Amino acid sequence: MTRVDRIFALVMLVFGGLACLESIRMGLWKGEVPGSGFFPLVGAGGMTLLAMLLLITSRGASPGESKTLVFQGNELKQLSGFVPALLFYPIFVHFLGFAPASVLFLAVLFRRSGRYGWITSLVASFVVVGVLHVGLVVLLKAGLPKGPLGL
Amino acid sequence: MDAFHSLLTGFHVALNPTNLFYCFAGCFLGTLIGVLPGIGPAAGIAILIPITSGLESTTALIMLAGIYYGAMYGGSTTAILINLPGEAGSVATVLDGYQMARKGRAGPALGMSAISSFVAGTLSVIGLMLLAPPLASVALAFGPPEVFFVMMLGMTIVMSVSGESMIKGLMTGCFGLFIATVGLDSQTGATRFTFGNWKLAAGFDVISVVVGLFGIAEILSTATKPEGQVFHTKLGSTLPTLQELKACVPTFGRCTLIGFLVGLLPGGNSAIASFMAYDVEKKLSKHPERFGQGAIEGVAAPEGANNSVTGGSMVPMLTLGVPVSAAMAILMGAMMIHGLRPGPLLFEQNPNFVWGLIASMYVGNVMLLVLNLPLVGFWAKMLKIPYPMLAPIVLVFCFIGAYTIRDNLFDVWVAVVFGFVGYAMQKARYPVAPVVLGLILAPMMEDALRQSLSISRGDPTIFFTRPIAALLLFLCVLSIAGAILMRRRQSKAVQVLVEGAQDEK
Repeated sequence: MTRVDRIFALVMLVFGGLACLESIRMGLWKGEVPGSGFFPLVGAGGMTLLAMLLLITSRGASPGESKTLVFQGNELKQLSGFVPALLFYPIFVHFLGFAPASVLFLAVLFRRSGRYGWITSLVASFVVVGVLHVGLVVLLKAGLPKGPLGL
Repeated sequence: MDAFHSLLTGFHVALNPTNLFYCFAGCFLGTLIGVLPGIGPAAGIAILIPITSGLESTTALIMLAGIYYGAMYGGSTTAILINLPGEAGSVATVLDGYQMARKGRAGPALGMSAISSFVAGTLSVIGLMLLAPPLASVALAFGPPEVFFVMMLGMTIVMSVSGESMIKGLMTGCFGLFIATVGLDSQTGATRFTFGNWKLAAGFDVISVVVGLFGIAEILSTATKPEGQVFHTKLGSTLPTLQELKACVPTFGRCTLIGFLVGLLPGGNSAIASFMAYDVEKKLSKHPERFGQGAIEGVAAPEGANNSVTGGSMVPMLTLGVPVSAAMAILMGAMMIHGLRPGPLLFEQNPNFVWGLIASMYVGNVMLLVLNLPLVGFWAKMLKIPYPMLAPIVLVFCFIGAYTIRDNLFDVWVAVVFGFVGYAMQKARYPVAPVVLGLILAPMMEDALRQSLSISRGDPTIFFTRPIAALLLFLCVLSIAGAILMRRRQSKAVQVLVEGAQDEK
């Protein structure tokens, strides 16, 4: 068992404990059948008990087995491109529509993680979004969000 | 004879031009998914489910099933060419496939992989055709208590897909069970864990969660790893010699049987089947020392076994509504989205769908052979697409996948959040498949539990006094014991193989 396991177990223990309390509040039994809180209690209770078990078993872990969530090498650099892009993408889709937001999203990621030039990134993203638009919206009639440009 | 007549009807459905086209599209996309490292069959199906939303249910499932077994075919290409399995079932193929490629025999290795996959895949569909209808007839006698235990049997799969730690697997399974309860309680109408947010009242959409846990998390995880290098070698002829084909005929039979039987078992995934088949071939070989050095049987056995699993794992999913793997759970979710409820009644109420799907698997296997033998060079070229170019495109597909299920941006946020959760879980080596199993099985389990107790007026002995329910309870216990034994056996088999490979070096 590792330090990461202990952190995860602690998070699950707190989360599961709170969920158990809320489940009990909802009512465990109603007449002859389980109430709304019964099944959530099974899941949350199981999570809590197993988290406790994981915490207990990880007490004897040797320091040599310890691993941390620290990012190594290029990992953080790559993630720093993907994470903000993923967080902003739905917001941009909401305001600009699927096609313009996707062009921006792809161009930024091609440039950031692939280290392509801006022109290459923009051309590639226009081509990809164009193909997707024809395939999904025109041919398969998929209802993707539209923005002020109608795309 | 009944099965034969039903199959003829099935072929009538499968050979309809629209279904043929979508079967081909599924096989092609599936092979592409299998070829590209970082996207497994489960993630591939999850990402592409929304594309099928506008299709008729049979056509949609024919395409999705094509993606599933297509990915099993395609996984061997990366295993053989770059020593990196495209999906878990191709891990054992690496051992001899890559060695063959290093010796300039990448073509015959890829060819044998396609032939073995075709033979085993086709034979396993015959098994599915013969075994599924009688099992469905038996399952028709099931009431709510029996259904509850069938779902429990499904939950025992969590133990087999738990990865390195059973506690972690069970914990994430409970997490899946818990998040399935978020939203409106279908029986009482009470809202659970919505905290006043009306968007949460409909609960978490299974596909959004799956797209996040498998698609987005997988991309984040792979994008941060160093890139694999394509082994530059001439492919040459993709056909193995006649002597090699003759030598592999018994291998085809054995790996089909192993794969099919493992596929039937809860948690019996393609990785287990391929390692077992490889192990059996090595033990039965007159020259076991050739294994790990580029023995062609070492490619045929795991590839055949992992394709045979597809037919086997369809049996419990179609007849009992029990998904035995993450990919099957997602396929089952897709069926439910298309208004089909897997289980014994499926054969009675939707015979055209079931037999059309089975017949399409025969057709799909032929298509895959045609796709894989002449197009090996093309698939090898696909591997040269740089991952930084591919990953953002797959993320856009994830977005489309999450959005088009309910035309709702909230589902996209759900996918993004579960993408980060899945990435953290992968990094901390927590299995994600149990979350999906819990999420899919929990609502059915809860309904069956409540219905059973309503029938018995709150008397829990209903679960133990009905013979089939008691038998299913026994099977649950057996499944748990089996999972523990299988874990031990698998780790031993892997250890023996690794030690063997090290000794031979």
